[in-house]
Amino acid sequence: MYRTRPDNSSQLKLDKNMKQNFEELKVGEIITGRPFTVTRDTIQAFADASLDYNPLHFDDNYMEKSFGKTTFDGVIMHGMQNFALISRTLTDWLIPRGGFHRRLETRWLKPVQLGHTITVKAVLSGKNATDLGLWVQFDIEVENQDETLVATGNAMAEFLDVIPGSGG
Amino acid sequence: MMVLVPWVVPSCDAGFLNDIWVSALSNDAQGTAARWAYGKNLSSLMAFLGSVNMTILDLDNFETDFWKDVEKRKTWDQIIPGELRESRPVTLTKEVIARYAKGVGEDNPIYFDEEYAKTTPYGGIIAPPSIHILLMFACTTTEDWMRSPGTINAGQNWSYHIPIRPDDTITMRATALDRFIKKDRLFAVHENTFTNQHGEIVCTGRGQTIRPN
Repeated sequence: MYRTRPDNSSQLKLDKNMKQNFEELKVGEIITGRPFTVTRDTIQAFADASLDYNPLHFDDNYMEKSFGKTTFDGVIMHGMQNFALISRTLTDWLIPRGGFHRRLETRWLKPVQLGHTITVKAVLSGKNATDLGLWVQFDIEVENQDETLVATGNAMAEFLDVIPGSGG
Repeated sequence: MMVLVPWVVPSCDAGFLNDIWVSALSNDAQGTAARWAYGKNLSSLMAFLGSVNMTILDLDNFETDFWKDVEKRKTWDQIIPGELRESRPVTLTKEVIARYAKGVGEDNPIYFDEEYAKTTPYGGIIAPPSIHILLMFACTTTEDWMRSPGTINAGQNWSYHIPIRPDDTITMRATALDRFIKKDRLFAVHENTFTNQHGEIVCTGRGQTIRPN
């Protein structure tokens, strides 16, 4: 199991080529993100970063109403905070290995409320060499502190020698 | 040489004028724009700013009251699949990228530290791939229905092609792709394509939201 953490070493130059890196990846490897606890401060920080100031995330009175068939127990975390945490978990693992985050698909299953702690788990579920690329897939689950699934997803990364747009 | 000119634009009918923006203009452009502003010819000024295509996002003066203009936004009934949503380009500075990254919980130095980032295969600071979360609101107007209070995110699919870098000017092409009713809930599907100042696609995505009813 690998717990993601940014690589603070001063040198990240890879001494192996991408094909070797790709070949060493093991299907079934589990990447566990850092647990994230939702507070009013994290919600405010996310809103200030993303510019998403929907009252769903701030207004206690507003949240007492019913939303069609949906009701909530107080303000909820931004769904895209979950997206950003999944993205962080993947990139913190991929970047030191030379992997390029290519795709993320998510489904939100349950709202995440104040005081909840969520943890991202990504399983390296497949590897494919295409005509031009070396691709890795991940199955993603996000659970809260009660081990209830709050989100699922799928992701892809590519292992390539030159990152697109980096000028070669 | 670029100079920063703070523009405080009063509220009026055009959506973008309801936000306050800081624009980077050349000295000549600054003079021209200042003369237009002095004449209160706002539509000419905004057309000019649009033509120079360099609006630096000013996070501190964004309209945070999502109830504002709520009556001008399309409801589920008014959303036409395929219709373009109004948008404008924004330029992301190193500071904006760092603030976004920190705010969403990123701490990888590749988003903050140029010296470090230069040693990586990325060759310099990049924005976190998820920065489209910010662009969704930065590039749209206060009249965009994604701001409607009660908009509930149901899921997202995003593809990444080229990392966004400091001082990239990003243009958003946004549509309402589809709408449907499922299990008594009103859904809209949005689709976005983001391009940089070179016309290259940086990322694309679509998502589903449950619309307030």
